[in-house]
Amino acid sequence: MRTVLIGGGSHSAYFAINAVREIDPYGRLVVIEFTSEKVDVLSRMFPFAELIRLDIDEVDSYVRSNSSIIDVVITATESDALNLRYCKMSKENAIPIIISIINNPLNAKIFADEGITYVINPYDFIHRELAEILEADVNILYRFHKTDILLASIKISKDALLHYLRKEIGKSHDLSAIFVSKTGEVTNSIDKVGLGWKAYLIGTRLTVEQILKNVRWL
Amino acid sequence: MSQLIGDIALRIIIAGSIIIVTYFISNYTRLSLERILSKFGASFAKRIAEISRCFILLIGVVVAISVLSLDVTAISIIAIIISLLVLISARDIVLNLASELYIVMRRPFRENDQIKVGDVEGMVRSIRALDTEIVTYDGEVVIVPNSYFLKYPVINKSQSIVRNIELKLIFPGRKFEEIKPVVQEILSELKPELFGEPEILSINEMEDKVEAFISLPIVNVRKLKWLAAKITKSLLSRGIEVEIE
Repeated sequence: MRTVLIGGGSHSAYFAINAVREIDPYGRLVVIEFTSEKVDVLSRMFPFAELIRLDIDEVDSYVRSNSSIIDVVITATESDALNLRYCKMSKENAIPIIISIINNPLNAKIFADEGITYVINPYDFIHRELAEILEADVNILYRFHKTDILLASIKISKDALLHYLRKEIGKSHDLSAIFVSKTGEVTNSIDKVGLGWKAYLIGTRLTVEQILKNVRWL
Repeated sequence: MSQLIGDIALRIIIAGSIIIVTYFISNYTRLSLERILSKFGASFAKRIAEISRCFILLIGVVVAISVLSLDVTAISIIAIIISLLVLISARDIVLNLASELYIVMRRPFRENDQIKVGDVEGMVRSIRALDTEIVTYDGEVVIVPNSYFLKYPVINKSQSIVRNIELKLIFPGRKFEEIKPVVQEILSELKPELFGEPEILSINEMEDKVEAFISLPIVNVRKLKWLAAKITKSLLSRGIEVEIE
């Protein structure tokens, strides 16, 4: 697979390059960077990647002229304005997979409004991690990009909640759960669960969201 | 006389108030709908919200006219006739707009999905109000009217980012033994451009030729032409002629 990563010098690019290498070890990874100094450093850091130095305005023509053979474009520059520009240009050139790693989480909606399907917000995990550490009652752990599946956790703190979960898990065909006790005991049977356990639910987004909504009212 | 003037003034004030209230309600509705429908795309939400706003304003105007005791029957008949004429003359446009509603709400496919509808197969580049742009495997941009998706079944092939595309390679005047290792070599050369392992499905020796069927896991289907050219070039550099189907 031919992946083009734009903005190789950013922090997020470091992680993105390593991830792409791990996911597609035999693939071609082209990293575009704007400064020759960074290109030198990056070519030593990532010998498996093809480093290209281009001016900001030259990237468009590079992607355009190679659009029929590029499989993935990842924009990871330090400017969301540039990221958006390259995403839009890649979309116009029908690149099958366009991913943007954004710098400011508040810009995520702008990307979504422009039809950029895959936007990675590195700050997304802050809420999730805090909720896990501080033992929040409910925590949305992961929303899958490509499917309407949601992974969430619920702290079972009331009998009413346990009864409700028992009823929902019993009747839903699009929901699965495992339960973890405070001592680390794990089971997939809700009959063995008591107060203080944590339920990890995975199911369709609609079902899990409805459960989380109802749980907040219990 | 003064009572009649007073009555007319009152009606005008009420009608004016209705128009003003309707204006605010329509604006509020537009903003609310834009927010609620934004998950289906900003431009789609804006369009639906604007249509709803116009509809509410129209209702307000009709009510205001009836308050003024003007003859709404004639106005209604004219409005109905105009609406019917617009619907008949622009039925394809209306059908395409309605189809966009279906595509956005039902989501049989999204942008960047690989789909097949009727004779058209390729990647969805953009979904617009009246039509959808599909880039075929040959790189051609086909503009499909949205109503097409209501008439023909849509096959969405985008569960995976990879598509396994089969190619038939024909080697005239060659033997099985000499072709198999060459094809294996060529496939390993192509590997960096693919996502997964390319496969030799079968190699059959005929009377005067060898036929090889290979499967290539491709993300960007437009790459197929380029890959075919690369295979041909690579084989020619080894002195082997090939026909690719």
